[in-house]
Amino acid sequence: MNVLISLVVVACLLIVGMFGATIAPQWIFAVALPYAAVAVFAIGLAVRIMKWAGVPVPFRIPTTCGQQRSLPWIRQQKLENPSNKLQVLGRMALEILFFRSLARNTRTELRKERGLVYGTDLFLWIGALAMHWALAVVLIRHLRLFTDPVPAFVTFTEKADGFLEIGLPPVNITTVVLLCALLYLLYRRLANARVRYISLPEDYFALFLLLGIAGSGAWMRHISHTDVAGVKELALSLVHFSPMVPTGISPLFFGHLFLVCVLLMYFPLGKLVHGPGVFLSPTRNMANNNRAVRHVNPWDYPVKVHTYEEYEDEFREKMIAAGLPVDKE
Amino acid sequence: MSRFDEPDYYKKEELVQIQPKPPRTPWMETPVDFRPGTYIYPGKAKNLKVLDLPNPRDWAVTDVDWQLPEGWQKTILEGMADRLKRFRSFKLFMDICVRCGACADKCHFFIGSGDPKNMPVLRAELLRSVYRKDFTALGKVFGKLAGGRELTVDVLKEWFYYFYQCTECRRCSVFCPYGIDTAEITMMGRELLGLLGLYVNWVIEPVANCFRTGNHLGITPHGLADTLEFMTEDIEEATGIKIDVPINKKGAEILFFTPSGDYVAAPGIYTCMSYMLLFNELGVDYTWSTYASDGGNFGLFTSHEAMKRLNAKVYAEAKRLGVKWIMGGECGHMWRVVNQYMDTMNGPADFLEVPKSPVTGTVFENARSTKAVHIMEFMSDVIRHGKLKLDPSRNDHIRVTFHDSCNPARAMGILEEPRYVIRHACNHFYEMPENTIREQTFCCGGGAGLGTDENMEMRLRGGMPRGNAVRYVQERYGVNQLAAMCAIDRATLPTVCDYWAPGVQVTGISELVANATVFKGEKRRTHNLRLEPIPGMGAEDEESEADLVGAGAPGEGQGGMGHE
Amino acid sequence: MVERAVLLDLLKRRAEAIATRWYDAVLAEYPEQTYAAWKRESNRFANPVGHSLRAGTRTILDAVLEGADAEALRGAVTDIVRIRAVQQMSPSAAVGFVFRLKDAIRAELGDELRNGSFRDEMAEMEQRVDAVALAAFDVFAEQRELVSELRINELKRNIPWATGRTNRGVVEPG
Repeated sequence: MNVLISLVVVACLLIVGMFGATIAPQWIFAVALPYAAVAVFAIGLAVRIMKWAGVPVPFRIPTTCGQQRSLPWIRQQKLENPSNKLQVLGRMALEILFFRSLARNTRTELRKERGLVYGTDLFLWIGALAMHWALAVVLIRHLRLFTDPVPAFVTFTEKADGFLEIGLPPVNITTVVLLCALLYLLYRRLANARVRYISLPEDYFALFLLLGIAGSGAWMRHISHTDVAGVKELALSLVHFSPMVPTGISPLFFGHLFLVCVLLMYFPLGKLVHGPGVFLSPTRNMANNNRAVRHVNPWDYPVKVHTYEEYEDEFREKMIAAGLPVDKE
Repeated sequence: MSRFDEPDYYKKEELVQIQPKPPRTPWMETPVDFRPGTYIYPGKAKNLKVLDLPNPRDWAVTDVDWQLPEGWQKTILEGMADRLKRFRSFKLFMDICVRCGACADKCHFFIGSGDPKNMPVLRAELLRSVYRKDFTALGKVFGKLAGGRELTVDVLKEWFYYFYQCTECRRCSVFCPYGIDTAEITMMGRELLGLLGLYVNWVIEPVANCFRTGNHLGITPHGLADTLEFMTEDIEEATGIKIDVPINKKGAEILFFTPSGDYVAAPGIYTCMSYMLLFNELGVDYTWSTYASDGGNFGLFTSHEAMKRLNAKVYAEAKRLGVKWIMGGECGHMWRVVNQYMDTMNGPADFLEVPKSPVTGTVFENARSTKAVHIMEFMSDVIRHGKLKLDPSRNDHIRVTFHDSCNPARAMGILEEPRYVIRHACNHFYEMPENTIREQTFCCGGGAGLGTDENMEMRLRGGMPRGNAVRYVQERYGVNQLAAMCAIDRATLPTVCDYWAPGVQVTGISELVANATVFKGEKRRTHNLRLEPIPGMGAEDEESEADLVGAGAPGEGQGGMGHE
Repeated sequence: MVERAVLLDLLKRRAEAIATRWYDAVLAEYPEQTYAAWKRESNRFANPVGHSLRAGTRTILDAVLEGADAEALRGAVTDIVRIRAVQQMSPSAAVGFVFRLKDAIRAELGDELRNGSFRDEMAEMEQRVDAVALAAFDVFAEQRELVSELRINELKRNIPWATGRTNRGVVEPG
């Protein structure tokens, strides 16, 4: 049910994008919407991050995943249990670039029947890593459309990506990887009862949206061959704030563009904000040095305590009888 | 239709496709099943009154009407709004979960019970669904479609059931790609429940006791003095050494505090005796305090405020007694508090000095600000410098394994120090399997205020993964003792072992050290601190079989567990 | 006599398949998402319940096929029943899993049994399964008693000290 709703919604969006552009004035879908989407994305994300950053971190609560820094002769696991900012940076880099914690799931195991077996959750790590990295490369490749002259690193990325030189234009590895990874993540969500049970419509929506975007993009590149020059003309004109819509761009491109706009606008609202969010996660971005360096709670307030005086007043006689020292005789 | 005793009745084709029971209902619509043995009794009115907590009343979990105060939904939602503004962890963890499921099978309660709502992600979704409905744009517009849910009495009951079915052990947080920590969620959930006066008595009574008497068990100052005195008699009987017990001693160098569980119940008491013996041997100038007589802090399981109220006594007492620094005993959640909260809550401890071992001169740089040192940091340093004469062969009848307690492992990272100490005190040390120790250690099932007998079945489910790993080393290496540096472990793991790995006893690490130490002026050591004869020390003739030795032989497991 | 040996041989040859069916049926009593988790994860420490069910069902089946005595049957069912004794299920469900073995055998040998052969032998086999069920019931009751005993033991571990202190007259009520 959740799956179906999400699928239908994304399909409708694609259709709206494709045919909206032919029915309605083109500037709505080609100009106004992209600008609006980028604005919503940028402002929405900024607001979201500022909201998080505006909430104080009252306590230093890192999750420690290795040996602490203590005595000089005990080897500290600096990246698993950092004790200063530099080490935290290292831990965060591992987390953000390589999804360290997800990789922890792997467990190689020697089993009688089948020899060496890897925990299946290694697949989740691979799937997630492949999806995110491929997406990053795809985004870099798209810079080609927004820049003139095209920066060297973009050209290089594209060359490297298409080194297999299959087809014309050559098939980029990341396109394939991205689609496969997304399909795997979708498959996993559907096939694994555990994950299916916890999934919300939003989870499928995000996957279908990305699949729609990647799928339509690949389709345009390899099958329907959209007028790339025209698209670049449009993209550059948008970047230079002198929008003009060339004729002859296929509806599928507008469908693609529309889904991208939806993604941009949805990004700051929904679960996709986990990207920026991970940078702020207190269990990962703090050093485990609270005993060495005091952490201050900005909203600390005095609480009602039971003072020693009150305590002694209640027990004085008995303390004296038991030979315990007291402050007031 | 064929009859059941006719072969036709069993259609092969039908039976080939065995399908697991489909979830009767989506999780949001599955109410909780309060079954005796799975929940803890509610907090008594008198305890809530001691602490000035809201809505004190006597009620039962199985009551239909929980006597909630007027406008309770508003109270909860305002409480949530307030906490979302104060805790970035809470706000962030409400927002960034992608429900990837990496945490799902990491919870010991899920592993042992199979209840889907014990998957950490769903435990958090219990709160998150309400958060979405009332605090996010998508949730406000799309409601249930965006994963939102109305706050009802059933939801509240679910919170009560599942937030007191989480031991705040942080194991799931290790595996989460965003570091989402269910302990944080549970703490918030319990704080919110507390706004309506919904507590469990096993947590709130200790808090009330601790507030008044300084320790969870409500031991009065003279009672504590007598308890410790009593221990010295056992110590003398075992070792021939007469020791003094410094209590509330002004001007001592070190204030020592430890969980109160170690004052009263076996096997914690032996750990407590060992502290005193070892300090005496090393000539440490320390003092106990009756006012701050508990290192444990059930406030951590109640609310941040309660934690601070109880913890305040430690620095206050250190100041009053004029000590130089503080040392803490073997405890789990106490070290979460000391390592991550104490300095922030009740510091700065600028009236104390940077801890320096009086035995070795080592300065504990990692405790420079808090001025609190873990006894295992202290002891490993002492042993490293050869300041204790150890004869590990006295522990040769013990084959020991080490259980990393959740908080020292995942909220501190004290992993090597205890191992170093154990290796020097025992000749036979065996690790449990890799994915059950260190940062991946499994909880005893009784942490975070769940260690009572009322929810015994639930505890045994939660303790199953740990018990299973213990049983493995028992079968494989003949392990007969489980060392743990946590008072809750010492109270609950004996039960877990008795059920899942019968024959394995539980011990503190200091106890192993004290039993292995050759004390100055000791008598011939024929009995350990439990006053059981030590095999090979010449006492077997008198009393034939000590319990300790009973499980020595690695029994081949029944039922196919022992073949790997 | 000949027939009997034949049935037993048949069962022994197909033991693996029967055990798998049975294991699946037992797992299927848990919620679907639990079923998935327990079936998927093969590490005996990450998934102790699944492991015990898998190993335990096989052990019991072997014991049944060997015609093991009551004591051996008890040993074989202990692992599984120990787990189910503390899980959220009724006593009948906790031991009822044993009867799923009959279904598993009939399902696996459906073709061979359909023509009515082995009727007597099958009856005997089912009697053996019934014996396992009785053993499981014994173990279940025993484990439940143990749980109660553990409750008491926890209290007892406090008592010597409490008594000691009472005897010296220092215990304060409240």
